This record gives sequence, structure tokens and C-alpha cells, in this order.
Amino acid sequence: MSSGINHVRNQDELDQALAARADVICIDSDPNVWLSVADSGSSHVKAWGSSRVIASGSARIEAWDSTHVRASGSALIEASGSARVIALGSAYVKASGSAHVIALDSARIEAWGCALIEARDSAYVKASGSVRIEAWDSALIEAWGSARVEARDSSRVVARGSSHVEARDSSRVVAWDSAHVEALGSSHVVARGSSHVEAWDSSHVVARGSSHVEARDSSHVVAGKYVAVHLHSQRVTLDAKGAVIDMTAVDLNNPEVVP
Amino acid sequence: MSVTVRTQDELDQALADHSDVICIDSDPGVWLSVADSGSSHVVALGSAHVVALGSARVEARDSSRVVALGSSHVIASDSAYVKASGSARIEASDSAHVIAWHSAYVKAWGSALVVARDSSRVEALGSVYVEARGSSHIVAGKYVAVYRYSQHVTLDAKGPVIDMTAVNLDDPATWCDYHGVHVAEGIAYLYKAVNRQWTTDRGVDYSPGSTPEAPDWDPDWRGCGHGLHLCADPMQSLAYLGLPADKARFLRVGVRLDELVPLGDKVRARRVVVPCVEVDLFGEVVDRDQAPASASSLSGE
Repeated sequence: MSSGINHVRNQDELDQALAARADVICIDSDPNVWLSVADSGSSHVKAWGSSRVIASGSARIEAWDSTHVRASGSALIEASGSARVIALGSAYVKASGSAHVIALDSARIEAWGCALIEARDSAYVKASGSVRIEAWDSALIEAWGSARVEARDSSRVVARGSSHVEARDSSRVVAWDSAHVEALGSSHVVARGSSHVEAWDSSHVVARGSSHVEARDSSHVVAGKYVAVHLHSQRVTLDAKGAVIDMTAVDLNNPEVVP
Repeated sequence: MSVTVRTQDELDQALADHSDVICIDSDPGVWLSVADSGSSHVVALGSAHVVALGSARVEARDSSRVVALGSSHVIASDSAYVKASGSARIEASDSAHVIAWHSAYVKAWGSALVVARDSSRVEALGSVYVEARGSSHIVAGKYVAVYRYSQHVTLDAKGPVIDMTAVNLDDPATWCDYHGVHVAEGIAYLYKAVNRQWTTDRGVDYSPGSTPEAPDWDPDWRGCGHGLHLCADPMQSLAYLGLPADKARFLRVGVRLDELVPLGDKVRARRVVVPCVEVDLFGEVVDRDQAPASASSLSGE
């Protein structure tokens, strides 16, 4: 038996509304009280204001405003406003607005708008719009639109659209379209389409299609026939079949050099 | 007097007040408009998104994004991203990225990237990269890399020109060369993304060790279907599978080069002749017991 909209402020009211299979349950509890939902059943559960919610099992929660949600099991969270979510286990989060999500374990995140995602462990993030992602451990990121990614550790990134990636440590990136990658540390990048790579430190770049590469420091670059490489350092290891523009020989202190 | 604004109301007020310097530092995804900057110096910072209209003059820094319309003037530096059309004028330096349409004019130096479309005009110096498309007009210095995509481009380049108009991507060997596909003894090594059951909606079984053959192969068909669809990279194939990366499996397969039909960013093939091997999304073999002795990572190699 379902019954309209129920506004709840404590665990007893919440449990009673769930038991009554209320159509819509609006949680608006105090910020120092954590309420738990293990199974939202057929109810549509929304958290407002500064509510704090622990979602587990097969709970399904909409988080608005400045709510905080801790999600685990196979919970599904739709976070917007400036909601903050910690996703564990196999939780699935759809984040938009200015939501902030910390994704751990095997959590899966779909993000757009201006959301901020911190992905660790084996978390998976698919991001578009102006989302910012910080990836650690073995996190896997698909970045579209104008998303920006900072990839560290052994994280993996697929960059598409006009996304921007800063790859450090031993992270790996595949870049397509007009994505822009700054490869640092010992990161590995495969560049395709019209993507652009700045290779720094001892990064490794394999460039195909009509991508372009700025080869700097002690980077290792393998470039195909239709790839242009600007060579900025004599310490670069370069295997290029296409155009190489040697900037190491350019003396910009010589006034006769007119680029 | 310098003022920092985050909303359209604050920006309009600062313009009405004729503030000397107006710094826009709005949240990413929130677009603010400037139709006339008057005597103010308008600067887009951080991840601000700005539309410059009329005779507005905007300086774009950091990773800000600007759409320049009308006869607006944008000075872009750092990793700013500008889309220019109308008769907008853009000055781009550092790693700024500009896409120019219509009659926009771009002057670029540093390591900027410029995509020139329609009848836009570009003057590029330093170590700039230019993609010349449409009927654009390009003047490029000695250290500028120009990618020519249209024979209607007017080009005065002192440096290397990569002529993409001469690349026939309908030719299987050229397609493989362009995409960096490993080809050995007439066999091209390509990739397929499948679901957890080693298949796709089409029903073909790509289990490791198998050599699937298309039941509907037609070498003369120019559209989709009628063959096994394969890509040069596991992730490209994933885009066609339609599943998230963590729900997919990937295979490397060997197919005959003379049984390939390029279809843009993928190919059709009649059959697999070197058995399917499971790889990860970067093309590295997952189960090395099933890999050919000579095979390791071939994606992009």
C-alpha cells in the first residue's frame, strides 16, 4: 500500500515510510544524524538539505543540496547540487551539478556538469561536460567533452572529445579526437585521431593517425607517417616516420632566426 | 580597480561600473556573456566559460573556454580553448587551442593548436600546429606543422606540410598504415570488443582460440553489416559495442589484408585467420598461454 510524499527526519520515520511503501520519501535530517537505507523497495527516496544517509544493499537514493551519502553494496545514487558521496563496493553513482564523489573499490560513476570525482582502487568513471577527475591506483576513466583528468599511479584513461589529461607515474592513456595529454613521469600514451601530446620526463608515447607530439626531456616517442613531432630535447628517444621539426637546433638568441 | 566576478549579474554590474580589470572566475559549465567590454579589461580565469559578442575584448587564461562571435577580440594563453566565428580576431599563444570558422582571423605562436575551417585566416609562427580545412588561408612559419585536409586551402608554408588530402583511407594498406595497425605476411592484427559472453548483438562468437567467419560477407557492400567489424584499437571497438569498459572483454584477431574493407574508423573483414586472443583495453595479452609466440602488445605498435 503506497501513500504520497513522506517527509522524514529520523530513522524510525524513515523505516515506517519504507514499510508503508510511500511513493516518495524525502529525508531532511540533521547533519549530525546518519540514516540508513538498505532497500528502498518501490519508494523514491530523496535526501535534502544537510541530510546524512548510509545507502547499502539495493538502495536507490537521490541526493540533493549539501547531503552526504555513503553508498555500498549495489546501491544506486543520483547526486546533484553540492552533494558529497563516498561510493564503495559495487555502488553506482550518477553525479551532476557540483557533486563531489569519492569512488573506491569497484564503484562505478557516471558524471557530467561540474562534478568532481576522486577515483581510487578499481573504480570506473565515465565523465563528460566539465567534470574534473583525480584518478589513483587502478581506476579506469573514460573522459569525454571538456573533462579534465589528473591520472596517477597505475590509473588508466581513455580521453576523447576535447578532454585534457595530466598523466603521471605509470598511468596509461589512450587519446582520441582532439584530446590533449600532458605525459609526465613514466606514463604511457597512445595518441590517435588529431590528439595532441606533450611528452615530458621519461614518458612513452606512441602516436598514430594525424596526432601531434611535443617531445621533451628524456621522453620516448614512436610516431607514424602522418604525425608531426616537435623535437625539443636531444635526450629524446625518437622513432618517427613522419615530419620531425628539430627545435633543438634553433637558437632563439640569434636575431637572424625568423620563425 | 580590479574585481572578480562569478555570475552574469556580477559581470554586468562590473561592466556598468567601468571597472578597470574584471576577472571572470565562474564555475565550469556556467556561461557568462560579454557584448561590449567598453574600457574594461576582461580576463577569463580558471575554468570560466565566456561568450564574447559584438566588439567585446576578452583575455582567456588558464583552462578557460571562450566562444568568440561578431567582431570580438580574444587573447588566449595557457591552455585556453577558443571557438571563433564571424569576424572574430584571436591571438593565441602557449598551448592555447583555437577552432576558427567563417571569417575569423587567428594569429598564433608558442605551441598553440589551430583548426582553421571555412574561410578563416591563420598566421602561425613559433612551433604551432595548424589543421587547415575548408577554404581557409594559412601563412605558416618554418617551425609550424601544417596538416592540410582540403585542396581548397590557400597555403603559404615555410615548414613541413602533411598533406592529408593525398591519403586514401579506403585502401586497406593505407588505412592500416595510418592507424598504426601491425601487418605481417599479409595479416592485419585488429581488435574487437565483446560482452562477457565473447559475443555482440550480432551473435558471432569471438571466444579466445576461435576463428569466426562472417555469415553474411559481401565484399562489395559499402555500409555496415556484411562482415566482421574490427578496429585498430580496443577502445575504439568498445565505442561500437556500447558497453562500459569494465563490462567488456577485448580480443586481438588476425585477418587477411586482402579481405578488409575500411569503413571510416573501423573495417569489415570476411573472417579471422589468426585465432582470437584476449587482450586488455590497451591491447596487451591477458592470457599469455593463448598468445602466438611473436605476439605481445601490438596496439599502436
